[in-house]
Amino acid sequence: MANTPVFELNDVNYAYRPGEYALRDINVAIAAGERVALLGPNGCGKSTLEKVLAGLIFPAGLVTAFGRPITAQAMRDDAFAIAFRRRVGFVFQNADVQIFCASVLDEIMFGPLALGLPADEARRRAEEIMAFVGIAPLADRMPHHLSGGEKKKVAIAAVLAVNPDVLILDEPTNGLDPRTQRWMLEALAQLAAAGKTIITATHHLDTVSELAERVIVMNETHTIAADGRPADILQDRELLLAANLIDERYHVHLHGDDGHVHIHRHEPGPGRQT
Amino acid sequence: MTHLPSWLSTGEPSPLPSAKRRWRRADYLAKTLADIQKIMAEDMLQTGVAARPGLLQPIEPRVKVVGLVMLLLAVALTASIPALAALHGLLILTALASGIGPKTYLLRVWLPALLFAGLVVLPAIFSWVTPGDPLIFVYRGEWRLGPLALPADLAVTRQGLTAAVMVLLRSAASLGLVMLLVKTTRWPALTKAFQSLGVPAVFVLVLELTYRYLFLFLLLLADFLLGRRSRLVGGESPLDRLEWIGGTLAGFLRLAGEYSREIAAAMTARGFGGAAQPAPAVRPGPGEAVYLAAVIAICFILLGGINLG
Repeated sequence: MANTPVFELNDVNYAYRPGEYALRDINVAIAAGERVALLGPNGCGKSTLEKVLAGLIFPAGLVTAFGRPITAQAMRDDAFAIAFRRRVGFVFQNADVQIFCASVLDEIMFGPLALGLPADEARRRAEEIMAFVGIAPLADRMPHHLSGGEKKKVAIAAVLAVNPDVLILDEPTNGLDPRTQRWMLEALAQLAAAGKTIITATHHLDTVSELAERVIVMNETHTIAADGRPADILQDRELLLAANLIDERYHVHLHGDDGHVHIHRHEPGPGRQT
Repeated sequence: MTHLPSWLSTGEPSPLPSAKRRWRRADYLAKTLADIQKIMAEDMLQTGVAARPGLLQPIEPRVKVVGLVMLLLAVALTASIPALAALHGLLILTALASGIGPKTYLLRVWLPALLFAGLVVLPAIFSWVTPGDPLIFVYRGEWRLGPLALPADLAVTRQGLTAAVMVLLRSAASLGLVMLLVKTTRWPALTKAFQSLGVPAVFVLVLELTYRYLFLFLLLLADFLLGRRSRLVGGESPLDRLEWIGGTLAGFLRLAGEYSREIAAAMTARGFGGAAQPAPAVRPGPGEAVYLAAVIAICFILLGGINLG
């Protein structure tokens, strides 16, 4: 399964304003079932690239998904757009922007009902996904009464309820407490084991090796600086420094062949070089 | 953690159906999204114009505002059409020398002037509204439609045309002056200039905050629209769409309220007690003296000191 390309991007460029590029010369292919981390500093174009993959913005160059070109024109065909959106789920960094129903249960049933599932089937699906995500007690709560971590879980549950083949997440662990972060990493690992293609944008080096088996590093010139295994990328100190992902004081320790990484910084002490 | 529901397992992805060519127009939500992106792009463009070197950019904002007010008064009081026409020529040259292209100038000045002032003054050119010397007759003699009789003769009059041209030139000149000021001055510098010229600090603060948070909320709204688009996995009826718009507006207002409270708290935490920061004092230089001299000369001409016609 891991050889079929889900996405292929050729010579992709995107500018929000004339001359101000968010993406430059992006050439990349992502296979079915891959776990990919988009790593880069703030403002490098990670979120833009994810929006391109999610068919929300349309750059110059060729973007294909599941073998078909994804263009603004193609997405005007409702049947095509719906087929695409059923396959690709996108979790925004700000969960508030994608939660729009009156209660958590309504929010999670929105997708299954839109798929045309009968109400009882949609409800069963929503209850199962809420149990998986751990938000069953929140079913009747209004989304704006939830904490940031709970909203993020609701947003993920709402996207998962549609059962997309590809899950794209924008900074999923940002602003989450350690326990919710741990939950997020384990949930994504389970989803990957279930065959989902998972694309995650992050600038947290310490979670990359758990999130992904492939890392695409973007730099401040909005191009791809490197593409490889987490262990190789995280050991490349020059690359991480050049991409503004670490500063001079950071150290990366790699443990074993599984590429488990921990990263920490050494503060300079008296009479000590770092 | 509970195990994954079995229906969430994914097999080999199936290919997408081919897209059919549709020529339907983008819906109003898509247009709203496009408009937001256009506004952001225009703002960046304007910031770029204000930051680049040009004729008006180096002039101290307070002096620029004073000059503008003088010119606006002169434009409002002048009775000379040739002087106003000459001013328009000068404004276009100044725009070009300040890095504002002719297309931008025409779109920002003449299009709204013709659309709004032009339409309003159009009836005034006819003899029914402004009697006077006829230039062109629309019809002559009496028109009768059953019991209704239209007044004898309908003509474009010299007096009406003169008045309409005067109003149109004044409106366009005023718009052109304001456009030059706004496009060649960075917004924070402009608001500080207003403050140092006596506009109440609270008013200036509201202007600054509005500008700052307008863009924040526009970006947020764009994300709301994209968030909705990303979750459209089934057909959507017009009623569903209206329901979404209602729910989103409510959610957006709630978020805006939350932001407002957070912003107020952040300002208080940083020592804000209701008074805006004083504008920094800047000493005008020779450039400002030349600018003011030019403004006074133009006002003199506009107010009839030199008869252009």
